[in-house]
Amino acid sequence: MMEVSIGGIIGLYGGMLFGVLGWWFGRKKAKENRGLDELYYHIWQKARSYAWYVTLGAIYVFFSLIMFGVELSTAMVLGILLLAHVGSWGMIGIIMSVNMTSTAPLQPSRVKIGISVIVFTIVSILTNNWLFLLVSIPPNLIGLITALIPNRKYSEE
Amino acid sequence: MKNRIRELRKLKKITQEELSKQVGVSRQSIIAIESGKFNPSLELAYNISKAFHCTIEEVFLFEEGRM
Repeated sequence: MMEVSIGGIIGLYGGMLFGVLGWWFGRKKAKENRGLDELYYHIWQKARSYAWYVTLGAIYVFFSLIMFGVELSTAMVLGILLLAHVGSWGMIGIIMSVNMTSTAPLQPSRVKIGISVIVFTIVSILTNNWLFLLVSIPPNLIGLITALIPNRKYSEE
Repeated sequence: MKNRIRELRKLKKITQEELSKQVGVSRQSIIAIESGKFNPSLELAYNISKAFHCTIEEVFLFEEGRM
């Protein structure tokens, strides 16, 4: 029988708990400003739809790696798939929300973010070290925030 | 789809916030609809038009060949 990973259990269920709490609190705040309207559902349904394309791509990448003889652990594959799906869902949702209300559409450098994610993913697989993938989160987040700030100006005429 | 929301809002001296409260959506939705980035549902289009005492065709300008 496999070993029980206490850290993994705390991370998995703790992450889910914080995720659900964040989701609930976000909806509560949005409801106060009539934010749970048809635009909200349109954006987040679209984002989920695009996130499935990203997940599909990630599944193909993992299958290719297995074909080329790279050994992958179940936890690593499931973890990256979860990150790719939930992460892209959130990021696409935020970008779409900003684009809907800003005068100049947000055009973050998809290439830079994409390359950064791919490079860190390959490094983490080759070195078999998860930390490289986690390290990729801050630069991608900073890149996204930097791209968001200049375009958030919208003045009501 | 083009619309005359901004023009009608100025005419009636209604802010985006006030219009959003009247029709029960967020101000962000009004911004998105006004700028033509989001096409509202028939129900919301009807409510927006009603807020200006207009018909849907008077507020939303359907462009043929753009569907």
